[in-house]
Amino acid sequence: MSVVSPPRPDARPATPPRRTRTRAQAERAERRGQAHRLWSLSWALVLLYVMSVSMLSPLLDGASWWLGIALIGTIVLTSAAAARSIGAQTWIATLIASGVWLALLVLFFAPDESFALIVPTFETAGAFADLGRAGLQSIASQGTPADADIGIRFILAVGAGAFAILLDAVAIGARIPAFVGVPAVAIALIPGFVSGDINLVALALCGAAYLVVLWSDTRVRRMYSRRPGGMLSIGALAVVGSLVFAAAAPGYNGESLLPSSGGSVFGRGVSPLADLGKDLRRPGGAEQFSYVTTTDESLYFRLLTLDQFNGTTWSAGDDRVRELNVPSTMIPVPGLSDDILTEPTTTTVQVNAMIAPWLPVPFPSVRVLGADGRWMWDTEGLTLSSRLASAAGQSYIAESVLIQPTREQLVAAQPTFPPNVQRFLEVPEDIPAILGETLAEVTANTTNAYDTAFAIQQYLRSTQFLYSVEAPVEDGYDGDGFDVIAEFLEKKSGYCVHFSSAMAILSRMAGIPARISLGYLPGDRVVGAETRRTYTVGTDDLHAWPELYFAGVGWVPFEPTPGRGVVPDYARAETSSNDGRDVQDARQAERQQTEEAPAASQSPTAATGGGASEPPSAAALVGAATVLLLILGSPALLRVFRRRSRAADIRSGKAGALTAWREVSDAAQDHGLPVSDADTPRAFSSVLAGNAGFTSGERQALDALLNAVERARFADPDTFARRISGPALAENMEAVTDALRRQAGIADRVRATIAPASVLSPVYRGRVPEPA
Amino acid sequence: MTSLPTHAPTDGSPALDADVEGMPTAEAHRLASDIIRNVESVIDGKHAAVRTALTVLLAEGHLLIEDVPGVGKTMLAKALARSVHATVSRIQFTPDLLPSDVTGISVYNQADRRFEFKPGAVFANIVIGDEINRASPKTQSALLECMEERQVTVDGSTYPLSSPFTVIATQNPIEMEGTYALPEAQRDRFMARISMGYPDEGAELSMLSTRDISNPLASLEAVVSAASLRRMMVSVRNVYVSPSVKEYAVGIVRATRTHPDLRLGASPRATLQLVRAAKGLALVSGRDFVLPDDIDELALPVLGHRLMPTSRALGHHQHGDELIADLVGRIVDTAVVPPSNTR
Repeated sequence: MSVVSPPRPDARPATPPRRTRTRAQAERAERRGQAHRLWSLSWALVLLYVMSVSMLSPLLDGASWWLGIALIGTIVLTSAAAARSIGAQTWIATLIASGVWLALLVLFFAPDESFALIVPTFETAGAFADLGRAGLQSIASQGTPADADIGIRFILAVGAGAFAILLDAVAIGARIPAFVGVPAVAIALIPGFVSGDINLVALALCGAAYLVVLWSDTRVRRMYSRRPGGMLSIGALAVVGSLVFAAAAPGYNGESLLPSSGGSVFGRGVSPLADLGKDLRRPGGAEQFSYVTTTDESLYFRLLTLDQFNGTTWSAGDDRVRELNVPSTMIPVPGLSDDILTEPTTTTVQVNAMIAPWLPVPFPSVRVLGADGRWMWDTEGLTLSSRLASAAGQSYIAESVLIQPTREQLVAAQPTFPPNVQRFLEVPEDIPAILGETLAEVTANTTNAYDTAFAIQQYLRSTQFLYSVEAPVEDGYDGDGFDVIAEFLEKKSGYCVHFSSAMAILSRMAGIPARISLGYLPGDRVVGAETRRTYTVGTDDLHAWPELYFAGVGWVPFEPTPGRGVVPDYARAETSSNDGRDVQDARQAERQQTEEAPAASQSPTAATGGGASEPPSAAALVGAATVLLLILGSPALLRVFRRRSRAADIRSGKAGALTAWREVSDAAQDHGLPVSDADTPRAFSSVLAGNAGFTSGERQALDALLNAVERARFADPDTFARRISGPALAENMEAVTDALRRQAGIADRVRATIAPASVLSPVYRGRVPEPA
Repeated sequence: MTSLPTHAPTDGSPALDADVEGMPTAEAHRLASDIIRNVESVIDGKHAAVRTALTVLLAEGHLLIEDVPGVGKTMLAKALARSVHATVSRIQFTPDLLPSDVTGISVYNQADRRFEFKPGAVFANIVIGDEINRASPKTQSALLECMEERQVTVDGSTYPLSSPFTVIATQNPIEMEGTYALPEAQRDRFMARISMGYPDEGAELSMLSTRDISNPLASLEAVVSAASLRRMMVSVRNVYVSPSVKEYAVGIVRATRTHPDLRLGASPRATLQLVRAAKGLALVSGRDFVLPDDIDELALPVLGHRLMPTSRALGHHQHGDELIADLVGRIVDTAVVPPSNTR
């Protein structure tokens, strides 16, 4: 029976206005008082707002944009709250907040076209239109993370202000804060739609902020109305549902080949590069791109490099140095010294069907001209990627410097590496024995890095090994982890993934920095084209190969896969006998193989069933989702636990009437009945009996409970005797709580289960003070 | 006149014979119900007022009944007095009533050649002071002094009053013509003030049929002896008040002192009387311990006439009483019942 006030700030005041004031003044004073209490809800909204807009961070570079929009939203939200606390009506407060939003936009983006810096004029509209157009263009042309230029910032500021006003109007104006989860989740899911990548930790923080909003809403409502947290259950359901969706939907499983997401090539879609083994096994090869080049050398086209090996898979590290591709700059080739002979080459590439966020370029390319969209260089791997743009349909010119080190130069390379190359030597601890044995055996007589690398390559290219895209799948060791490579060295049958991974791992073990490049073989020469240096490349040209680092030379590709590709001059045996197998022959053989077993098109992921090619984060995602659900379900769990332990204590006589009464009080609060610590037990019981249609039996149970609790609390302890205790007390308690539950509506029942108010916003805290 | 007690109380609290023993709660409850039923047989639909009046009687306090003329103030006082087998006297206060009419006077007995004390109207167990605010302040204060001291001093001699001693005073609202308002200090002497209010439609109708032909008071008989009444009073003193209820009462009284709309809050005497009255109500309800609900129920009757609203808060209220009732209701509603573990 706390002070009952109307639930809406704009509702009529409960008491008639005083004679000395006009009605409007009294209403205003009433609104002011209510707005004062709504501040906590406003701050919770600010928190939710900041958390939600932070979810956009994967899409944009830097942090200054974030500061800007966080500031705008905070100012808009607080100005609405401030307007209310000086007595403005709700809709006027929304109007004021919109005005503040507009003024901020003018101040930040078009102060020159304004009157007094914040008042918009006719010119302001034009300036805004220009900014919006520039922003849209910028979004369309940039990849992610995009550079937050003025246009993008403007669009963000417009959207953020609208979002803040929407939050305020929904939560405070319409008094349905549970629904703020909808726009917040919408914002939070944007990065998922754009990049297929979502940060679960940030999403969890977002969810936590939403719970804070609900929590402060229950607090505010408890002060206002009979029914705390009206739409709480719907809100909780909405958020749990969207999180389950987020965790379950394939787009959010992190199934992405984006370098920044730590993508592993072999289990992820390059679509249609989707996965290498799968594409290689697919009968017939769709044409991916064609090119004309100025060199006679065979060009390997690279998409991306995988530089991190964790024992189960190779992946691209997150911490790449990226640089925007602009025609005016040449990207330096890492590690390359002037002594090495290079051949400047210009290659014109026409991409056809390939849809991927990478541009295939020869190694090492230093400049790319004519590519549409915003492409970022990985300055170490010399590959190009984009968050938003696709390679499909692109036509561009790649300038590269083909390195032609001599064998002597490689032999002379010292085993000293710059610090940024050190990480290419990292090998996890648990190396299978066979790898060490193989390395020892193969490199028994080598004295320098080059000889070691060459010996490994030649060992893998030897006739002991058989090229097969089917064998690993059939025998269940497809992938690129330690276990797979160990099995591969045993069975001696596999395809480029296995050969390149094996060589890269062995090289790292031997102290040579190594990484894996992923891309295409040179492809087929087009007969009858204008120049004889015109080639087409198909999906069956997909390939992986190791690159090793030699001081003074930089990254040097090797070709350990027998029957595939072209062994570079520097990596050829002096007698040139081992690589006698002609590339074209090998390709023929491979095609035959493919045609013989066309049905074997299952993805390696499915075939290995949780092997190394499984997306590594799937389990983590399920775990994270479980943790999230646990966090969100914790109030419900806590409530159930409390109810059970209280019932058990009462039955066993450990707890008495006060505990039973507390349980009844909590149940009442959960089901939306008003509970106040200003209520006497008697007043509370009459509220209960009045609200819920109790049967006479239940009324008796309630009276018995009331009698017991009054005696326990107020009677003389010297003469106090427990009237009821143990099972009888527990039965009375359950009769009353059941009656409460039965009388509640469905929405109240759901809310009582999912978001029990007695846990989220308890009236009574701490232990029940049972008399000894 | 009954025999006068031989010893006077020293602390201002009423004295009861030491040899009187309390009665069991159940029996006290039964007797209290009898009294209430008896009184209600002549006053329809005023259960709360009757209950409070009996509570004050049992708690050895004095009762002020304030309302417009003709709603049954005197009827209630008389019915209550008649239900108890005790001495009753009635004083009709008028502007020309003298203090000696109330307290008594020493007259010279020519036969004995000495002054002899003629006891006044206050020498009775239940004194009904009708329309107390019609008397001059001097006479009023004479009665009020007796209420507090429970003794009369005339010409240097002190005469203790009878025990039990309860004054049931009635008064018209001070806005009425020809009245002298009781000062705050004197209102404070009354344990509780109740107002009768108009009867509801049904009660008024039934009154017409029952009250038209005869005076119902005439047929009213005492249901409780003076000895039983004394025993009930002892029982009231023995009612248990838990520390949390004491804390609750003190909390409510203190809240009136800091309330911004109140010029004058309740005195410590009010606290004392509130708890004492709550003990009475507990016994009337058949309990041997006080509930916070007892305090709640009695907060307005016990505190109401001691509070003075600020003129600003009075504002649009025609009657200060409405405002007071509103304020006390709010204070009671928001007072936390200890032991609170919300902190």
